[in-house]
Amino acid sequence: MEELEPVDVLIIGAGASGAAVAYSLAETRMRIVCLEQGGWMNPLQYPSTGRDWESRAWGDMAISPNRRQREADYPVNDENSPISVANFNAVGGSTILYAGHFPRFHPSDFRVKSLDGVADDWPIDYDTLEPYYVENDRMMGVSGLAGDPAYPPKTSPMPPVPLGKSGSVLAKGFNKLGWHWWPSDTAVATEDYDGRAGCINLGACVSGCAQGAKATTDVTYWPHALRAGVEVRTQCRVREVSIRADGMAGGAIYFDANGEECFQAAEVVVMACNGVGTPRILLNSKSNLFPEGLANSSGLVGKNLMFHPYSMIRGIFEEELDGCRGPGVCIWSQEFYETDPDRAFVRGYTYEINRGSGPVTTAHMGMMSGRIPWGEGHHAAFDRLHNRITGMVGICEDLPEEHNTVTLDAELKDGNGIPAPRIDYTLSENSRRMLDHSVDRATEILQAAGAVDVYSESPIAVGGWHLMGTARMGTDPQRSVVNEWGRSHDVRNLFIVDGSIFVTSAGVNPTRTIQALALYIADNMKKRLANLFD
Amino acid sequence: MDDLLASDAPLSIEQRQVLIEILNTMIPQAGDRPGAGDAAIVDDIVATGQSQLSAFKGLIRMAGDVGIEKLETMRSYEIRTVMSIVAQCYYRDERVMASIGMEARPPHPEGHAVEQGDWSLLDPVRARGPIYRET
Repeated sequence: MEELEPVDVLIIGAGASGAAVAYSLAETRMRIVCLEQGGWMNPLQYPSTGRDWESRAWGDMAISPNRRQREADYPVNDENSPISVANFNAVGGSTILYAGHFPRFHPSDFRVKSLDGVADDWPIDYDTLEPYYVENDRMMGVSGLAGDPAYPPKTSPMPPVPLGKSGSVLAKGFNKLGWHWWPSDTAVATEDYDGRAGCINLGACVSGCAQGAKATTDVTYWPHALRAGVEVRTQCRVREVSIRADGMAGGAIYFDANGEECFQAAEVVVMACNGVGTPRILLNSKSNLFPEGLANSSGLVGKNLMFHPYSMIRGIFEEELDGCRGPGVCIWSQEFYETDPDRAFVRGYTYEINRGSGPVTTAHMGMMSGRIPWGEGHHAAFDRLHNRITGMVGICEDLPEEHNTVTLDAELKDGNGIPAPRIDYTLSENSRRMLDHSVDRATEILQAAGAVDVYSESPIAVGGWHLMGTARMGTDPQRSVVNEWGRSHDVRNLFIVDGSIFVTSAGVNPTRTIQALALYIADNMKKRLANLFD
Repeated sequence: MDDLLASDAPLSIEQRQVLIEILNTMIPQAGDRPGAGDAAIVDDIVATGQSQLSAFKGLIRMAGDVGIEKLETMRSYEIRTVMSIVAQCYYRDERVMASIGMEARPPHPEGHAVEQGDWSLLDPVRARGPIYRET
């Protein structure tokens, strides 16, 4: 095994959180190396540069690693889950394929035990994270409109994405019912920003942004971190984090691009591999000191997996809408976000409005559902749907349950022979009721907006975009894996900065909070450099 | 029919002819829209479905067993697989895209125009005041 020159900080994972923590720590001038199992993406090869742009979402740019099967991907056994894992492995991580819907958590999201008697409170609050949200907004380039009544006051560096025809129609539907909506905060640059070109409405955000307008961390944080001296080693897949005789992390053993086993020693190890990848590596890092996996004295590594169960509700309209033109994200509603004792569930959800879809997706959905028949009626049925569908997804808060787990599969392995993750997940009754509520209310909204037909899928079976909770944060070492600033209770030079550390999931897309947490943890590390391991 | 099942070999002339009949039944020619059995579209479908040849052959076998007209009511893996590929290939054909009012070009680099919309629609939302929960 090749042993490399030791570094000060080793970051594992170059996605949303790894990029943010690397950027923040770079100012310390420590020697920082980031290992990433994927490579750098070439935006000129993203689907929107080709005529087959919609098809590639079923192929090499699919959201499921099991379907995509790129060399950088590892398989996931999610057969025992109604929701399958979605991710992407590259510099930029899953931001490469995310929609860029970019809400913050709310103050109440950090206090669910106190307010609603469920799950646990976070050891930090909204005010603690607020300055890091602001810093992250500046680095990523957030577009939005100040004044949203669903949030404490906040601003965005750029104006919001356009309402368009689809947003306007649905806004009128919300207004008829007197329900909240607001232009979404998005990680889409609506103007030229920090060397990136402004959005030109390609409509293919979830297959990678060839324009560079969507804030993927390969074009936001990483250029700054690289200029500050951070090294990213691509196509390097970590097998395990090693432990020294004194109980501290010693570094990581990984396979390089040639499949050679290497050892990178480090004074500090930072895990940034998402809510599935991080517990997978920790559970693969067994030793005499940690026979159940690294940093797992609580037994909670890999437990409390939260997904955000998604509902999808679509309306068919007679008037022409945006179709695939424009960023998919548009407006949101948090009318049903906060707990209401009159409902049959606790906590709540966000509606993320999706503008529309292209002809292939429309035809695919129509033919599979029977709305577009074979034969003579095919063309007329297609024309009734083409550019005439819009709707939303309901992003439901998923409460932590210890029986929802990431473990190591007994048989499945990746291309380097490393045991793959296995997902065991059950939809809770609270989630089912919330999903049903989101479908019913969305149907009312779409009908109020003028939809002539409504259809839905709930939960979205392929919608495991958000991976959270599997190495939770807390002050009690028996009830959590990391402390209130991201350091492992068990291993004092091991930090976790990704969605694993979420105590609860809130009912919003998590990336903005993941990154704010990464900046917050990095800031705490910098403030404590003299006594980081005490 | 054994040769329709066991081989990874390309479709035979006979198999391709049956496939064309199935595709034209699925999406027939109408006005300026070609049928899905159009030669150029079939070429794209077969090339795109290269790794799914068993599904094509299974569909062709089913057509022989039950007749093409009955296939639509069956929702087998083979039919769903082929329908997915047909949707992908038919609706990127230049003639088809033109007939549905779309330019036959990739989204990048030209992009699209999207109207801003009327932001005064937010007035009643603003008037309602804060709805977030104080902690």
